[in-house]
Amino acid sequence: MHGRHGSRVPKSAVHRSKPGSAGERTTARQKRVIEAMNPIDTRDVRVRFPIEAGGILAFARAIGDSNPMYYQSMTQEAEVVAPPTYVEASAHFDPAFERRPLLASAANTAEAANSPTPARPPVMHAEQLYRYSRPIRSGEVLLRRSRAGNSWVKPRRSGGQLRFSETIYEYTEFTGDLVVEARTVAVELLSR
Amino acid sequence: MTRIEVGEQRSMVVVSSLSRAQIAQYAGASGDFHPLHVDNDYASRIRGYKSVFVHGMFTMAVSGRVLTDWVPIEDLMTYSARFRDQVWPGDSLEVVATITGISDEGRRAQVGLTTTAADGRIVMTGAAAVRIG
Repeated sequence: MHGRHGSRVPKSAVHRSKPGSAGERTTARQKRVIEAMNPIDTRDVRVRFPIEAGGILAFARAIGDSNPMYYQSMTQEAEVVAPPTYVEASAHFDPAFERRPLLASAANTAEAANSPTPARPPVMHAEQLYRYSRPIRSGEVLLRRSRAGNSWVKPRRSGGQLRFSETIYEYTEFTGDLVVEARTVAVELLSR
Repeated sequence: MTRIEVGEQRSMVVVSSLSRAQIAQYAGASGDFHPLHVDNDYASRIRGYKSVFVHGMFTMAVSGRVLTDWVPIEDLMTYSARFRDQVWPGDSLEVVATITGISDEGRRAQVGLTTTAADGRIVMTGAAAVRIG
């Protein structure tokens, strides 16, 4: 599983891509980055996610959480526990993550870079669910795998149809033991 | 979290007048720089919103503080959220957590969460399961 991997990057290697979004198009640059930065197995769409005390500290500050347990690394060697939604920061380690600016790119504008084309309504985050086996702590390394879940269409009260798309993320130890499962539901307006 | 009863509540003001700097700070910490959150020109001129708005996951993260200040983080089993409205710069948010049920022979509690902006808009509803006893 962790051995050789070919140069072909499957369509599914672009995480969180929604139908019609810019994320469906994997650029040549992104393919090179994926191959260079994801030595585990690009075919399995795995992201290596090191849990870092500095990342936890910055995340806790960003959510205004002053609980001292998140800041222990400022004063001592410690395995620092992470806030419940910290796994979102795995995006930093995802070479194909589409919602960050690409430096030195002609497409690095708000309009063109990491967003759906303006002619289409944006894809919005509708729901989020986490199931925890245990808290995660600094010093450990998790593996993240993602897969598409269900997709369904519902009429919108004010007219048109909404399409909901589910993505499942599993954060595991290297042994395969599940630590956190996340379920993300995105929604987009199909027609007015 | 012992001797918990259905209907028991905790509330917390988790955001006081959200600033754009806080939105940018969350973008940096999470890695999510979607221009709807960090580029006011894109959000307003191209997308038609009145301004940028913060990530739904920010609202979920700050609302979760009412849980982790109430129970040991090791006892948090599930946490879910439904994003119901945008949170804008200047908004203040209060989250109310309510014990909605006790199950598993008193060893598990269900918690409902509602996060409300100061103008009365419900911006997020959520649920959690926690170990007790």
